[in-house]
Amino acid sequence: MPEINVVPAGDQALALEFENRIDPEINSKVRAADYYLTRESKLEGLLETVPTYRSLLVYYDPDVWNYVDLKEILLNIGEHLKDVAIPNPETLEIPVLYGGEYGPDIDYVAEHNNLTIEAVIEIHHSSTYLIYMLGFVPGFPYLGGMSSKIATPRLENPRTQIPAGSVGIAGSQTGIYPLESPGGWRLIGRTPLKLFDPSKEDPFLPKPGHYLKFYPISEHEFESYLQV
Amino acid sequence: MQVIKVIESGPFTTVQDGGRYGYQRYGMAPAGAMDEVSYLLGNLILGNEPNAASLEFTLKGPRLEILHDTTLAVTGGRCVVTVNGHRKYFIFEPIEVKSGDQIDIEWITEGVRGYLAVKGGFDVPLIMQSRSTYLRGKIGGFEGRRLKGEEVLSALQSNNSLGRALTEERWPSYLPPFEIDVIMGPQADFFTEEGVNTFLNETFQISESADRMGYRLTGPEVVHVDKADIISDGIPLGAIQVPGHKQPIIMMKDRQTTGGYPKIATAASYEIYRLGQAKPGDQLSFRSVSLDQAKEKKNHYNKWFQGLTEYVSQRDQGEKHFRLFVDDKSYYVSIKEID
Repeated sequence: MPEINVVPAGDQALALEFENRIDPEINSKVRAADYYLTRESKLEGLLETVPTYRSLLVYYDPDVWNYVDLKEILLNIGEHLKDVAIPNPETLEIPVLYGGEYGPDIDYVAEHNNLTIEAVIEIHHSSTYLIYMLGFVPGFPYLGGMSSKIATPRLENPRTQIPAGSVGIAGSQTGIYPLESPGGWRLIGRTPLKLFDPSKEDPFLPKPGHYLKFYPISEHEFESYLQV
Repeated sequence: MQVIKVIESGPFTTVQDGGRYGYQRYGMAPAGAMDEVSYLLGNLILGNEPNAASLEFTLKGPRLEILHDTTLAVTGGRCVVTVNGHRKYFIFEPIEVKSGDQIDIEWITEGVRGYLAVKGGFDVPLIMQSRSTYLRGKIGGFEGRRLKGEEVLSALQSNNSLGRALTEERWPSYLPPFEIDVIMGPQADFFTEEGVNTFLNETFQISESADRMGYRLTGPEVVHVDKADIISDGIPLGAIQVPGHKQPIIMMKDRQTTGGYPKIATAASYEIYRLGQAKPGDQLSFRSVSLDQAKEKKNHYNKWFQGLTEYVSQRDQGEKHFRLFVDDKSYYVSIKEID
């Protein structure tokens, strides 16, 4: 199977695809290709890219590009990347107030996995998570790297309203709700940070292909974050 | 400058412009006018910037009170615009209104979405370079929500001269059934030969579940080879995904940016504005085109669209256009000095 594949996604987008697996190494290729196209290549008529687990959706201006010409460039992206220094991914630190009213399901997660609440918190914040991609709602990070020791099935009856900033577990995944929304994740805590703030020049905290780490904070620290 | 007060919003009305681009990588849909052709023509008829914000209404337009003398244009789905209960106007023409006028935009009889443009464009905050409402993100437009009535809307200042009305024979057609050109893929190989044949040869119907995010279709089952999920990837505009229930969903302007269902095909770029005017109950079928054919048809579409924009942008020398009302009948009159 070839390592890189390019397929049409209509007449104004194409998908550059790497191996069909969820794997940090493959995701780093997506990030490198994205970096090359959006920062280095200076190609005209590329409108927007959407990096995901193992593919990169590239929107192009169909009045500027022929699919075959762009495909040719992308199939040879390995050559182009040889001379490009891709900056190391950064780690976004996310403060979390675990348990209590902000993490009403942490008892269940502990019980389900035969752990103490302290152990759940310890395991959850000691991992460094890869932000494979963003999607679902603005600013929602799909994170990889959660320990199977705290894996917990979703709620059978999803909540109709989960506050923005809620940190939860669904199966073997962990995530953060950037907006108030309905959902079935087991909530273990909440961050006082806004993952998505349209009033900021850079409205999104998580960036695809970068890393994310949680750290526990006290209720007092949580309150003082909100006042900033 | 406050220009209108919304008395009744109509079933579903939001502020939209050309859309908010560059943030799909962060999970944010572009939003923007579903029928970009009619939306843009509304602005050009009023001499506005092409990206000025308008109201996009669905099925029926809002009822309004005018708070300040201005000019409006209603474009898109066929409907009648009534001023003070008796003066009737068409779509795609400038409508001069005075403070105190009562405007009603009636039910759409062809298509499903209309645009109300105002001279200067609606003055709502520019959020991440756009004035479009993105409902799921609760941002943009008027307080990030759809209009409910009682809102007072302002317009930006404009001293540009007006364009002119688009004559009826030039109006875009939105009559069903819709035959939509698609480019197969990116995941056509997830479907059996029979599944692909069903998709391309049978007729589908737009279900009641059709909104700015996407249209669920009902019809014969489009069968997968095996599983109906992929490792989540980006969802392009017009993508037609088929989940495990085997009924296609066409992804529109407020779509999720990524998703885990296989996409059998993607509507061609020049079909999007027509899809934006398709409504529940309309019949829909798909025709596979190659990228070369799509390119040729896109060129044709570009020429047609450019012709329309040039037509409405023309300011005729020495020619005047206005509506004349005689005995409750309405006439669009052009006057030209001949000697």
